[in-house]
Amino acid sequence: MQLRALFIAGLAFIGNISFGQQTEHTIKGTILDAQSKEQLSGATVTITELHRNTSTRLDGSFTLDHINGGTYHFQVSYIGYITIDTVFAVSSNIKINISLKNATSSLSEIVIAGRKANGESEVAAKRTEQNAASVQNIISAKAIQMSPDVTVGNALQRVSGVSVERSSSGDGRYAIIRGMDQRYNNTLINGVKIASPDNKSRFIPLDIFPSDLIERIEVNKTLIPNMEADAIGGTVNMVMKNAPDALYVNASASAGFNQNVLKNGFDQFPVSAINKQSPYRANGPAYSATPQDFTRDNLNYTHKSAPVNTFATLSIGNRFFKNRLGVMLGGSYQNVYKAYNTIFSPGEFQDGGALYIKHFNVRDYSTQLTRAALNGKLDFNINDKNKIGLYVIYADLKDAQARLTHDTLILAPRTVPGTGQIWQFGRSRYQHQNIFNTTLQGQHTLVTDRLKLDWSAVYSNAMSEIPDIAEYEYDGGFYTDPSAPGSAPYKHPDVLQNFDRTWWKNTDRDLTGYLNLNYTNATHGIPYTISVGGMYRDKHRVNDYDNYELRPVPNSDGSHQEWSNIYNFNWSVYNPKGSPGEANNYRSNEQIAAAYAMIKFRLKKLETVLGVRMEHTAQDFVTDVPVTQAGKSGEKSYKDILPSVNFRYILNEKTNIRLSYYSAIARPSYFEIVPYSDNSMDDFNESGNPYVLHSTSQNFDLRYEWYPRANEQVFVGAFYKNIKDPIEYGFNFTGFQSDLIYQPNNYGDATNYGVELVYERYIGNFGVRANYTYTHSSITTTKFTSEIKNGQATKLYPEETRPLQGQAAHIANAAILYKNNKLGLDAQITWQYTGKRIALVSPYYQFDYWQKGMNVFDFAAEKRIVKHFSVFAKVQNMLNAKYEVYVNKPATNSVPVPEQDPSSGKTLAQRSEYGQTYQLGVRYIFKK
Amino acid sequence: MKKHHFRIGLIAMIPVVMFSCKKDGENTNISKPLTIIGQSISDTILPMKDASGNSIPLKGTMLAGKTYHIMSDVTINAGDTVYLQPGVKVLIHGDGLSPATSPAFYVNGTLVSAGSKEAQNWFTVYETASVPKSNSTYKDDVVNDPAYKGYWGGFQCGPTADLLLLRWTHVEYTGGPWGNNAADFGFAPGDARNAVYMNRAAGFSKLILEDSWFFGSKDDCIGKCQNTYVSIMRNTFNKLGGTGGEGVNLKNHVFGDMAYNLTYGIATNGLKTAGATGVNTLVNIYNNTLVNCGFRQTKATRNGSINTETNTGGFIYNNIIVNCKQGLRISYQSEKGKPSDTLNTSYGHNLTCIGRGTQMGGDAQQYMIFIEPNQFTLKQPGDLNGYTNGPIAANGTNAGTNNPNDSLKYDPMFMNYDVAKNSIGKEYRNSVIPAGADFHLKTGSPAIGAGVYKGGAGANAMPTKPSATLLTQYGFPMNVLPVTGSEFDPTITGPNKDMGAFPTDGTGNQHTY
Repeated sequence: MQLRALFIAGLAFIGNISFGQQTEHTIKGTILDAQSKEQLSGATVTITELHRNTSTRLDGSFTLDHINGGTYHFQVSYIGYITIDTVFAVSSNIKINISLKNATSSLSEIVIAGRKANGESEVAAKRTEQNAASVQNIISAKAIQMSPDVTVGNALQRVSGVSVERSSSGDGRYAIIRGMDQRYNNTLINGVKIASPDNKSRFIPLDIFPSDLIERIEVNKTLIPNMEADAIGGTVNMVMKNAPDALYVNASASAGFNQNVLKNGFDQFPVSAINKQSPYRANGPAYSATPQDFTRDNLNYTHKSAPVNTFATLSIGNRFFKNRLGVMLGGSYQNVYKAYNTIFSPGEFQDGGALYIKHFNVRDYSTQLTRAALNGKLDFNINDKNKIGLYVIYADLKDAQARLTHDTLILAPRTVPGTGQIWQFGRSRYQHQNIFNTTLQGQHTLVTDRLKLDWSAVYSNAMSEIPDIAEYEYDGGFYTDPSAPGSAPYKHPDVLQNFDRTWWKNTDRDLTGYLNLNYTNATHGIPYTISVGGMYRDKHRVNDYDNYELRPVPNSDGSHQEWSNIYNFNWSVYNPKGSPGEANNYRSNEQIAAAYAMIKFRLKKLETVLGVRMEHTAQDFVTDVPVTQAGKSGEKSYKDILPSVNFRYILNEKTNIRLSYYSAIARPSYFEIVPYSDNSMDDFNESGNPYVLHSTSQNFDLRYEWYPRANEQVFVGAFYKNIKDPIEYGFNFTGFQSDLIYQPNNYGDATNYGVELVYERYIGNFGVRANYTYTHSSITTTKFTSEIKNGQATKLYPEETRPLQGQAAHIANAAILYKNNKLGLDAQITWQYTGKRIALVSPYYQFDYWQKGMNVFDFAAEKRIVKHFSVFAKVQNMLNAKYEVYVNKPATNSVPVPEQDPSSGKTLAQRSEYGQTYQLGVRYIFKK
Repeated sequence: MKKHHFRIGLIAMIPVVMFSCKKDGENTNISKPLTIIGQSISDTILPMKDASGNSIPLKGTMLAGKTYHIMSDVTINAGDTVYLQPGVKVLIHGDGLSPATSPAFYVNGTLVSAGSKEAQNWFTVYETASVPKSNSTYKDDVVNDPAYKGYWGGFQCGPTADLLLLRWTHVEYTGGPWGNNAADFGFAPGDARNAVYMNRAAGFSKLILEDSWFFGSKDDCIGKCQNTYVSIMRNTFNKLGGTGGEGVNLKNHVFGDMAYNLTYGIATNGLKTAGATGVNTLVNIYNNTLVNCGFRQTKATRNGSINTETNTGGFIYNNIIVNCKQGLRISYQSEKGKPSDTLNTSYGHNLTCIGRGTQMGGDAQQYMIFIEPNQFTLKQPGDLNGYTNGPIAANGTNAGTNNPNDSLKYDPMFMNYDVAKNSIGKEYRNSVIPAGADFHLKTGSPAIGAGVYKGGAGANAMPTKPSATLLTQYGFPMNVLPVTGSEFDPTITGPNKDMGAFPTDGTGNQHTY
């Protein structure tokens, strides 16, 4: 059915055809996409008569030399494009540009709106950036496939101005866009918002999405009125793979190791042993839990040597019914074992402001991450004027983590290394998260070339459960015999301690409808599009929490029970009825209604998008605390009017200047406004704050974009944001017990500005991609400290100015790419730098926890072996970069603390080493 | 004294025999007025319920001679007072199995239990076959001893509570986890509930515990009280804390005295103060007797007698510590606490006796020591213990040594309690006060005449520390609560020339065992 028609869409001679003396000539040229003028890398150029061929390089160029003068057939082919067969007379060195036409665009007049031709490609991504109404950065599927990144979270940090907040296993989990953390950004799939499985926030953990199902990731750094407004930093939009033009199969299988697992092995516990439901949920409120209700197998660790990581992906797509129906199905499975070591020695505050270390924790983590995802995308053209699409994605992440902790208490009775109190812990934590999203969309042309309507109906559901978090503890160590101070320390028996068993579960359900109407016309020769539309979302969240405390039963002679193994641990249940009255048991709702109007028009070289958006938010919650308690239930509502204007001044075909203003908001999570309390944190308690206000911001952006060639770009940008009532987590004093409660709060206004540079260039087989972002943000909050004067301790609340949490002044990325089509070899080495930034805001003056600047190098390569098959290799974290967190104050301990360098004037609070990760696999790609 | 707060209603005169003092064999019996505040509470099944079955908050006077049954949680509203005449018995119907079946008193106003030596008051569990009481056969048996079952929830004094006064009152079998209303008091459901908890949101509440008995609690007995003026005098604390918990645990912004108490068989410390950074806490701890404390706590480095930490201070004198895990500790940095307020701490004239300095009972962890080294505590003038001060480090701690051969050397020679005999085997863990035990001092006791007291001269003179402004300001004993002789004010006994709770002059603790 394929037309073998021959199209020469463009043919240009650039070099002079001169009649020189030499008999051998060199032919140079570039192969381009006829529509987009994108340079096509990997196209085959064949001189039929000479049986000579070559492939185009990264920049679309090719060279054929030692060609005797004569007339030859040139055949140029590229997958998905119509092959060109043409004739040239070669009588000198010549330079030719040949344009190929996309196979589908010639088949039918139906151009599927919203779909980009070969949207996975790198150049298509660039083209979208250039033509977008807002300031965008895009990572293409090709770039992701070629990158060392296996999750969306990791891939995102390649974008300029984006850094990531890592999960405890070291994977990028949340995007920080221009210093604005996840709270200020939103996450979309195919342009629609999805529900969050997070138990505390509305954030979408990006490490749940395997990168290989994605066509491209768009990072929007400015907003236009038809976009949801809760994106002060920007939006991350994951566009899932579209149906191809013809049969397409992309499958891969790979295996690998984590270096730490190879070296130290892996501690495993049986996830199947975990009771998914607490005794309270399983048996009802009248039930009293007994010691037998709490499992032991899940706290029994088996040390295994180096289990293998496995990865598999399959994407398959085709078009049917004369191309009216497009189908794309994808599946991905990853089973990854990670082991990493952390030392953790948080700073303790002492009256007067001194810092000392109490605990020196050495923690060994073993984490098994299992990701599975299914993706389906269908589009159906009813007729020229109406089409509908259905997108479904299910993503699932299981995270089983064993944590063995050896905690040395640095204080008395430790007098010299080798003595003192030692606590041992074993913790099993299993988290299961999933996101299900289904979107039905329609696009209708109501009046040809004038009026279009599109709509989306979205059902989204997310779930997270952390059943039975358990961490046993025993207290031992080496003490000096008080009756013989000079003698060798004796081993203190390992005495079992109280411990908790905690269950969390939350679900989040969204029902959303979007409606957009676009009217296109021209007046006085000025083309314009007027858009109006709206959105309504109903969100419902349910949070369940149960906590039990188990206490060791003393031996029959009254002595303390000692640790031998988990099966001999004889415990009693302190609170057999659980904790149903916790505010963590709550239901909440959120209704968002939005409407907008905007106009897009082009006056000569100036394209303008101008409009306003209104969003009305209504939130409510009800908790299971008794009616006598403040904050059992609550309601909040507010309305925001959000104007924006985006100018794109098209200097010439290759150069844009953009200037934009928009205003945006950030909503507190429904959970943050619930006055819940969470006492499960290691070092402090956490609580909600019903009085926290939503944030609003004014944002300005200026960007100069230069596209010297289609595959090349240079951006220089600057941005400025003024954020009113930013929500930052901090410690507050609730007036009860002088306890510090970690909770969200408003801390006045913040400013955030910076510059961004992006540079990409391809020369022959080599390419360079680099970006750099400087960000400066500033917020002033009150902190706590104390002073002792005349023997009286006094609380002080000095102000401290700092950057926003998570914001690094310097973020840089660079990648060197190598592509040799002849050898079928792709390789890249990437460098990612995140400068120092605040990892945790402390309640204490000058006690903030700063993450040290971090350089991460990754490597990836892919080599074609036979037709359709290639092998690939990825190495992550090649140099085993250390994640280090410091407090800028020296520790005052009199007994030396391990790993500390008091002369540095700083205290090392955390150091984690995640180790290298290796992956080797084979890929099959078939394109008809 | 803000008497108008108590809304005194009818005052009836009922003659009660009162032996006010003994002197030269002359007995004077004078009837004392019996107080009634508000309405008399004639129903004996409490709380009463309204038409829709909700509990009616309690207020008024519980009448002498009556026995009241508490079937579920009792609330005293802010501004209201519940007053117990002498000779009231309150039986709480609870089983300790859940917060709902372990009723508590939620005090948002005032509760006064005005027992007398002759007509004592009781807050104890209603005994049934399945809710048995403890007895002297449970010497060291946390698992089975009913003393640690936490049958009912104690007195939880909320942010508006004004006064909790327990005089000549028995409080028994308290503790257990918090239920759904925990957050009203700053806890989370499932947290440990103390026998007495008090924490006023603003200003000070008043906690007066006099001549009372606190027997059996699952966790802290007088626990985590904050923002309170206290007078805790002449009480007996016994079998408190199962596998952790203190007899008295006072937190930040507490001012007052703890004196003449006997603490016997407490899981951790008998008496503890632990404040917060940036807040001063000052409690005088004097003339207490502490025996067999600290051995049920599972954390190795918690102290086991008298402990001060995190910004607390006070005068600490004339205490007798016998067979506790460790003697007095003025903490520097401990596993739990931060440095004590050493400037506003003055201590000395304390006696510490340990049964044996070597490992006890074959259990490697069970050492008894006089003073834990590497904390602030020093052997002070007037102290009687086997500790030798070491060099004082720049941070003020000292690394001294405990002389294990000084076991029993500092035996205070109790009238009827043989320290040597009670040090044999694992007797130090026995939390039953032997019947007939008498902690008064025998002739020849080193504790006799070894205390500091008003009128004492030389070494026995009342200590002063001019550099410590808070100590000077608050005094010894303290002056935070008025002493007018009103029954709503404390009766304060100043430090004695003898050490311990039972001085030879017969003042101090009046309990017999």
